Amino acid sequence: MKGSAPHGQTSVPALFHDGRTAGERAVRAVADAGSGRMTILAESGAPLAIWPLKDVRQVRDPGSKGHGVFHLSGTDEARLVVEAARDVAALAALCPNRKASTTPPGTVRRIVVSGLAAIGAILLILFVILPRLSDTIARMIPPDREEQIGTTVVAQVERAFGARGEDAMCSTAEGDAALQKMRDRLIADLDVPYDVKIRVLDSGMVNAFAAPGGHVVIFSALIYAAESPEEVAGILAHELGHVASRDPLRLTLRAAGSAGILSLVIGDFAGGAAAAVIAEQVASAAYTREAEAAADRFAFDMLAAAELPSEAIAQFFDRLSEEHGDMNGVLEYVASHPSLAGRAEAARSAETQGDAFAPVLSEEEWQALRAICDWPEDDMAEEADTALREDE
Amino acid sequence: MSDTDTGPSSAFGDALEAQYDGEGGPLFWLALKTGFLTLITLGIYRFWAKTRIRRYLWSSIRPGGSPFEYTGTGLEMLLGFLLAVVVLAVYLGVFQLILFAVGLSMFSGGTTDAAIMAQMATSLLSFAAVAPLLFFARYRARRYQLARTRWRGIRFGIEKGALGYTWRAVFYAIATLLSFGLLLPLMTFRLEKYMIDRTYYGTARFQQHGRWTMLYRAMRQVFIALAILIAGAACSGFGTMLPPGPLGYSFLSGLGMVLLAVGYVWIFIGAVSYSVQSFRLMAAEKELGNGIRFDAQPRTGSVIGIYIGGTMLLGLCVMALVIPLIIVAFVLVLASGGFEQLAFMNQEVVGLGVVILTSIAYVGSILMAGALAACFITQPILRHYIETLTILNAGRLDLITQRERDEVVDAEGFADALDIGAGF
Repeated sequence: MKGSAPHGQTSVPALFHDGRTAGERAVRAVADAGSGRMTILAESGAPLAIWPLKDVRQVRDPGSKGHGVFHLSGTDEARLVVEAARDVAALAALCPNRKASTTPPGTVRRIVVSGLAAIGAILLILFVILPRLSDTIARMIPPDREEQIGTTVVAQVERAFGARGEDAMCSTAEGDAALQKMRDRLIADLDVPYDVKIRVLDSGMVNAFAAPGGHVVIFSALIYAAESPEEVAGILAHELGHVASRDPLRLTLRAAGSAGILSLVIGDFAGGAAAAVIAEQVASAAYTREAEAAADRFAFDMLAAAELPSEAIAQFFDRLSEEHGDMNGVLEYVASHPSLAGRAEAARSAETQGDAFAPVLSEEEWQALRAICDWPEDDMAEEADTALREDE
Repeated sequence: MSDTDTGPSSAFGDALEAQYDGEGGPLFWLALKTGFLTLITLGIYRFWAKTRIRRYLWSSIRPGGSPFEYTGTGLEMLLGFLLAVVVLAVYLGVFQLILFAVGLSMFSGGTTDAAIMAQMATSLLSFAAVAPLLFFARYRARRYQLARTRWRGIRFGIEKGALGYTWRAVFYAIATLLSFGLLLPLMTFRLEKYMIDRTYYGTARFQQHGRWTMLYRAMRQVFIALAILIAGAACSGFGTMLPPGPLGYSFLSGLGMVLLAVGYVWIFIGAVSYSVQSFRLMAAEKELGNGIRFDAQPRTGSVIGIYIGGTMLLGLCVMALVIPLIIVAFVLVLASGGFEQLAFMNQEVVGLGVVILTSIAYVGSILMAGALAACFITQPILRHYIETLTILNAGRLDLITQRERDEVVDAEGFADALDIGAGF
């Protein structure tokens, strides 16, 4: 019987738990490579168990000071505790499969199936359930409440980005009249449950935004960066598109719902927090980009109805992209807006009106709008150049 | 080797001293190794990492010489986690959204006091949506851990009951908040009793005896801290009423400041003291089966000492790793500025070198801190609790027989996803 199996015999003192009661017995474990068996003998010499050496396993990652725990593979629950390190080594040397681990069949399939189910559920909640739910809930919030929320949002933006702190909203009689004229031409038939309020914020950032409740704010630097009133009208139409589909409220609700879900998945290993932030950005950008594209399409229809050219806004996007570069490749997935080149192309191909159109503002009104913040224009133009950033 | 040197088999004596024989070195390397694997697998290995650390810690706990055995697996934890993620994503997504909308409709705009109160109420509400989950997850995690723990070959277990635990925990937590913490012993005791009364070792059931009011003894340091804080506030208050002068205003205000600072530190001592002493008091009132009792004597001073000493050691070791790297990066930058003529030291190489060194310092210090915390804080505290524990009437253990294996499908996925796993 002495083939290539390990040779030798060893007999070590140990403690034995039979796996049926919590009692403990001092025993002697006698392992014999020749017979391929380990016999566990009570102090009286009576055999308590006989284990085939090839089925003996050792518990992994033992605490230190050398003790070792042996058991049979499978469902047998008896345990043999060997105290001295040299006895553990002697016994282990005779158990060829002591480190073998048994992975139940079908394990890989189980992992793949559960993993896919989990990913599917996350995608479903992020991209199907939350968007639908937030749309439904957005409709349930009363318009006057929404307007109050918008007022607060606008005040916060005014404090954060306004050139003159809390009092950065611009107003002159002629400038307001010009805005009013632009608005009237665009929203002949806009169906929203609240008043549309368009204002200009004195700020060095090229931007415009729509807040809940029909608030639209155009940053003064955007007016300086525009070369014609039709370009401003194009931007305004885009923001009105957000107003018409109640995007500010819907997107805020969606963001509130999805907050933290991805950090839940990613966990807290080193750098995990950063990974979670990036993942959330990617997920939320996916649906804000969708809303932006929809607002662009809405703007084109609105421009067509107002008999104004979409070419103007295309030129505006082109200039922005020339001056600041575009986001392409990977960055495009992180950006909250579609790429400028794409938007310009879409605007150009919409061709809402040929070259012949009635200007949205007269030259005089256009200058009044540009002067609405009442700053020396040269300074402002310079500031616009240095701070050009966003495109909305 | 004769039959007499069978190791510590004093099991037939009536009292079993528990010993803990884990060591710092092996645990440090195990934690560092598994931490590194977790990092390079983008966190997926963390289930196996946790499992291996637990196997080490469990097998170091040896009441009467027989080690605990942890039989959980990384695979079980991964599958449980995936399950929990699905449930949590749906729950959190829907609840957060609805609560946010409720918050918005309560929101009156502006920055008046009422509006700020409303906003605070909203954020409290969002917390209220998650808090019950934390209790639920805690019970499920305990259930999984006990079901995968054996001692002397016999399994532990805890009955199902996470929902009952959750609503009780929420109820007691509200009571504790409304009583400004005065009812904390009620919460601690009742929740412990709920869990212990459902816990089994083999076929034998644990019981928690005693009354919740006994835990007020453990609150002594907390009350002392509160008294100091109140005295400090009173001194400061009286100080402002007196006319300025060396003996009135300045003295009282100064005393007030000192008392407030002392009270503030004392609150932390009080918190540790409460946790240690309530453990001791409740252990004395626990019973396993028919008459097996426990004697736990952990000391507040030792636990605080471990926290402070361990944190200092940890800080020193992390600095010892990070500072040389930062010095090298700094020297690189200086050298590139000072010796621009050296062709091999161009800016890009330096820039890359600095980025690599900083990343190594950052990731390395996180890994090191985790591994060091395991061997300087977690393990010493565990050791202290174990080594001061004695099992009384241990002879009756022989009558206890094996229990059925509990399937815990979600393992401790909820606790893991919500990031409330304890130290290990």
